[in-house]
Amino acid sequence: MKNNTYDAIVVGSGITGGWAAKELTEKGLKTLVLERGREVKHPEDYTNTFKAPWDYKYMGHVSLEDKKAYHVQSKKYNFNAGSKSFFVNDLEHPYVHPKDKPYRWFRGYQTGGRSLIWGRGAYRFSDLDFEANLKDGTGVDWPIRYKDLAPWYDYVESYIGVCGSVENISHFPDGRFLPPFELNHAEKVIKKRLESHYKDRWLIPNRAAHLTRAKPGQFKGRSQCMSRNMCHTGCPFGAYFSSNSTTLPAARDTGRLTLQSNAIVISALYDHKNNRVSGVRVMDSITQKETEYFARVVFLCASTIASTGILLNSKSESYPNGLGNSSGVLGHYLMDHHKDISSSGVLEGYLDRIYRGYRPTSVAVPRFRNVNGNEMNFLRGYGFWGAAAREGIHVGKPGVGAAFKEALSYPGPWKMALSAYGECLPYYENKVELDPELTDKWGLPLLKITAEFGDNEMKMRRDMKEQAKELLEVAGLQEIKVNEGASIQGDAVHEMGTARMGRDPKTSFLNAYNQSHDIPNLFVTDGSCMPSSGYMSPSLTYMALTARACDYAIRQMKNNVF
Amino acid sequence: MERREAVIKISWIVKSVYLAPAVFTGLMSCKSEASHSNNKVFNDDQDKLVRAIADTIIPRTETPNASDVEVNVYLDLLLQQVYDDVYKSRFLAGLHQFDLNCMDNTGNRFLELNEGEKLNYLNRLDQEVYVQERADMEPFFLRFKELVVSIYYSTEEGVKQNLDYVPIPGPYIGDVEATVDTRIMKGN
Repeated sequence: MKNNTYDAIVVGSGITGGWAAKELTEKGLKTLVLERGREVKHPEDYTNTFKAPWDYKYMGHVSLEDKKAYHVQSKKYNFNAGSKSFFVNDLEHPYVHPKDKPYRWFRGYQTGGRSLIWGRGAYRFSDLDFEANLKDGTGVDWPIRYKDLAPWYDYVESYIGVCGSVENISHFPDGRFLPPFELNHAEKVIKKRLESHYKDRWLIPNRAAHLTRAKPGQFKGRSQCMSRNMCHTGCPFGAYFSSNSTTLPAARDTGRLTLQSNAIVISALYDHKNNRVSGVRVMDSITQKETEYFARVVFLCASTIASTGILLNSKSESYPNGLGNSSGVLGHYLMDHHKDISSSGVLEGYLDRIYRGYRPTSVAVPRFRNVNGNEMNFLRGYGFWGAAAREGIHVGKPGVGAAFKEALSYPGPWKMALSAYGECLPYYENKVELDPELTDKWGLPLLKITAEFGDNEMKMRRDMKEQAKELLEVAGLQEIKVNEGASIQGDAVHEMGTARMGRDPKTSFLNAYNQSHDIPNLFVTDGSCMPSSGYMSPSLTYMALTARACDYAIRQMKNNVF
Repeated sequence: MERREAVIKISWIVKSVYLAPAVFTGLMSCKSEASHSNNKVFNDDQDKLVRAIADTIIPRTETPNASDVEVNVYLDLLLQQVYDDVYKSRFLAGLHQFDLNCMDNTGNRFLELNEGEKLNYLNRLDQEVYVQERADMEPFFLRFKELVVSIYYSTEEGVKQNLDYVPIPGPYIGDVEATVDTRIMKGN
């Protein structure tokens, strides 16, 4: 037992697990990080990062065989031959959902988890988000406000490197930014047209976790973006934030980190006498051997659905419905953003301008609906992300023969595309459960995910569609097309809400510090803690919440609370 | 894969791009994995026809033509292992119909036409494809052309000899001058 005892256990090595590992080890705790997937070392295990299309058997296409094995994962925009090894094999890692309610659960089981393949958008929630539940009476009130999290956003941004522009938009707070990726010429033209037409809409460079500038030594072994736009193969420059490039090396440097791969956490161990979590039970994914590990504090950072599954699978006499689940909310209120509404068009002229490099980010139009009160027939709002670019190889270009071939190699007109991300309300019916019968190859219960978007989201989508078109019309674009896809839960990979924070232990799972209301040495800092979803990527918020929760846990340990 | 999805994936792979083209250095031998696999979808006749159409769309100029970079071999491989059976059989039926139509329209099989006639015929077809709505049949020729173009510009020589291949551009510059000589800049 002595060899299996640490000060802290962190479950998961992704975006939040990496942050917990860094914070806890830097503050002196001997920390065990348990990762269910294989080891991926930075940067030597980024084996595809210098490959060209012709270096792949199918030129980067996904074969029929892989489409079967990755039948969910292959639906993600960034799934291809280069990134495949950072996604799970769906046949090995099944889950279930009702037939009429499809759910897409995108996962990466490896060191760093999905931090290797995330979209890198890094935004601060504002009080428009933190006060939303209270103001419109949906869900439970966030137990914190912007002022509580702002210093932690500062701290995280300064450490990971976030590029962006200072805009002074009160509901889209500025951060500690590196310089933004510059807008290209067409985007500058469109920005001017939009901002002279609307008083409350801005087209701005996206905010994202990329090093657009790095002084020597500033980001410890990471260097500036070389604009290859190959992020999803792993970046040999460490130019975007991942646990692998950033937080795990920091934790390792303390000499207090033990990172164990292929370690599936089955359940948390509960000490009934002291009402504490005493550790976790782990199965080695290769040998299937089970081991118990012990610690003074446990951080669940395994991602929303996985952490919730571990808690549901940790049953005891005191907590027959899942550890710390006296409220009964565990597993409920699952949210994701709704998307798949987009528009595109052609900007005529400006053919004497182009750009150099392949920008790994986009431009953004922050939320403009229901900002000052509810003026729409739906609650909350949405934003647009997109980009303009000169048309590349146009496979459908008219013509054949030598002149056609020659013409193909020159950039075409400027095209602009926008796509929307909208907020989803927390619904009790959207939930994660343990399937009562089905198990995986390790004998662990499969997770059953039941979720769909509601009336509010559908009303919002109608407005999204109209505005996607209107923005491009106002910008003076031609040949405008609007597309609407199916809105399937999970598609945005922003699942959250199933162990929410709140002020009242009767209606929430965690307190204002991501600490279990019921069990003081149990913390959950991944997306499961979110009482509402906002409309933008929540990852930066998860990181700030994790760093803040670690600070609080350490203070409580010093005061011998646990 | 749905056709639309296929086209979207292809356009993603053929990412945007620009600078002077590499000087033509002679035809390289393509040591691709594809060239080592035996053709399994196209028989010899079909392969000849595929190459003839593809080389008329992308002829040899100071840079390679479609079959110089083995577009036909890759196409075969994709039909075998990337596209599903429905797509594959539609494609083969389309290829067959293409030759029948050529016979109807010109009195000859496509392979029997001389180079000038081949180009004229495809030009005619290309113009028709873009103006006519053909609800009753898959626009095979357009689909074929899209595949050939996308494969050609995913091959090493297709990219390096026609485009400005820059795999590591360095820090991004958002707004620079483009001249009439600016080619599509292409990375990996």
